[in-house]
Amino acid sequence: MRLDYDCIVVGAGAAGTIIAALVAEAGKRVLLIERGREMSYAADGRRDHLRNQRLSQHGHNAGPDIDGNPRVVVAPDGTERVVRPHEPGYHNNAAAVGSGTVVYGAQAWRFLPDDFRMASRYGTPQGSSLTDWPIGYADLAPFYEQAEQQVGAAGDSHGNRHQGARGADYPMPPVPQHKSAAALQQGAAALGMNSFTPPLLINTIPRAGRGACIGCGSCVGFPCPSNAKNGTQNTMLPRALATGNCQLLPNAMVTAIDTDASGKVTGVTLVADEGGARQSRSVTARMVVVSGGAIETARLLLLSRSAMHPDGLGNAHGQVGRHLQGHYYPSVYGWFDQDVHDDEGPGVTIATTDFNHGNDGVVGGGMLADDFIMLPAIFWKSALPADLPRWGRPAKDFMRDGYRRVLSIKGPVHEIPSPDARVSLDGRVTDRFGLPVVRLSGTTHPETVRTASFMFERAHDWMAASGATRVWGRAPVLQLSAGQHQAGTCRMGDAPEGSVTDQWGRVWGHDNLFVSDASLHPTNGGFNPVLTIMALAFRNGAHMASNL
Amino acid sequence: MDDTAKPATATLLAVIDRIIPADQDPGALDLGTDHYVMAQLSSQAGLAASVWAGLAQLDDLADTRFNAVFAKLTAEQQDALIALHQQADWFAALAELTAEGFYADPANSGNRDALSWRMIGYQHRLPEGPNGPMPKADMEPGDAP
Repeated sequence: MRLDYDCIVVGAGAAGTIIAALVAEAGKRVLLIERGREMSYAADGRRDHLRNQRLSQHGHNAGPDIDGNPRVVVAPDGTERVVRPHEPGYHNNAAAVGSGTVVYGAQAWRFLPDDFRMASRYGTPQGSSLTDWPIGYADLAPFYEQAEQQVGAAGDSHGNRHQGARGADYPMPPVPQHKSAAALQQGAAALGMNSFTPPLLINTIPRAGRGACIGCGSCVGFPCPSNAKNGTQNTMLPRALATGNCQLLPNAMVTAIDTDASGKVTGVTLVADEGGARQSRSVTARMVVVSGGAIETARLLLLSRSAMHPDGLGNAHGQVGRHLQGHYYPSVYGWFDQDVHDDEGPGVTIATTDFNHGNDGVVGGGMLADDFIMLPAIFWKSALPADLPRWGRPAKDFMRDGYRRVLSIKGPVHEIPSPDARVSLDGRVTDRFGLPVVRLSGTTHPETVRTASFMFERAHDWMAASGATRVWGRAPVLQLSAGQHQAGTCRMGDAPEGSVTDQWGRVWGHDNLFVSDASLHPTNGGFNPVLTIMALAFRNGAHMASNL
Repeated sequence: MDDTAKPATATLLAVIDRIIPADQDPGALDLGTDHYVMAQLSSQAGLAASVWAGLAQLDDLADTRFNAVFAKLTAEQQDALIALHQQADWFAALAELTAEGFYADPANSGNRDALSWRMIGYQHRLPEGPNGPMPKADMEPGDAP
């Protein structure tokens, strides 16, 4: 393989694949490295309801491998445990070409203007690291539009009363509304709430040479049967490869970002699976872009220690790995006396953004929506009331009578970050390459729990107003939050002291090292973050291409 | 695998039968969920040990109260004894495994012909059938096509 490039991108997920496409289309030679493998529906589409990225009780389908990739999790009481990738507490993101975008639900939200200025709007709660973004909604709006148009979003362009100014409409009409939406629409109207069909990166009509959604309803956790779900692997990757300038290298793990004696970044060291043998190589480039997700991106910077950078790259101020955040998901379930279930997926049909901001007594808030179609095993594990026996006639009756009569309302809460929620390197446990593994510690700031509890009540109110005869759910508790919405560990900012990169994702102190993923998010919005990750990649990728 | 050689296998099957009993719809034993549970127990030694120990307690209790092995009791008697153990970790784990197998995709071998899905009204809507695309090597005899 070629060993010198203009640009190396580490991680072929939501952001890295976009960067690779933009840089390759600008005529530069790009190496796109991905630790996972290429997945397809034919080879990887099996619906194993117990081993997938949505329910990983006994394993998962999109990596990383169960063995050889542990993490250490430190509980709030200080106890430590070693966890494997499919186990609770690992906070996994899929390892695959396309990463989470192969197996996601594909909700395509723009953050609201106030999501970019949380500290200005609410102040910074004591002990938190709540801050403004160094850019505003207006800076990102044109790139949200690029993501919607080029990756492919379907939505109601004018239904969201609180959205920031937008240019073009969504390129595709929204997913159809169902019985569930009819019930919840009635409740929203009774409460005077604005509700609308949420946007998804799914073809609702044939587009870009691929078909429309067939409504299987198992989007989350699996590759799509009709290839209608738009991930980066079936949109931006083909563009990158079509240039002839981009080399994709799957099944390869970057173990270090290399620097020379002056401290300048020169390339990466990677370990590739070549014919079953592990081959370690150094590859050089004029620019390196780290796009491994908020946890592994921070780990790679911390692993890249040298005499010039004894605490890792970009970490002169001890910021790398801090402010880890994701989303609390307060969830309620409601029992209806009639069938409120539709078989046709994706299943998310109605949302509100009325509670993202302006809530009395709490900082921020979040979006609320109904859920994707729940696989029966997921329904069993998440939707049953706590006081229901898990055996005998009561449990069987609940499943038989309830599967089509229970609805869920849930939503991601805009987290109030804590500097103590962090990714660091463990001093003892190593991975299959002998490298220190991620150590996860801390919790979100307690203000997040207050906001999540407030949202739990709003979800409860909406469900009850929609005609549910019984409403239940688990109240939020203080914990670490990251998961598939992991963010914040290499936050961008206006000055090196309190951040890791500038507003373009350029790591402070380096002219040719960039971060591009949700690590950059100073705060993570009250929405599924993927469209924001993509929009930032479109913005920063164009900047990178013009600087090469 | 010769699970019938284990003395408590009859007890295990009887308990699985009460965890998801047959009524107007099939129960766990009707859909082969015991095969899923057995496979899980054979790969989780610690859990299996606690389950077998718990089942032995059920048999002891059956002997004390009714002078019979658990498997020979009436459904009402069995439910009464299970109710005494329903908070125990081993029973909660066994009930969870049973439900996993019963409600998961048929290729997990506990939901023959996806009949539990028919009962609850779940439609998979996949062109290849309830398991989606299956590499041939993964197909088990009796899998729905």
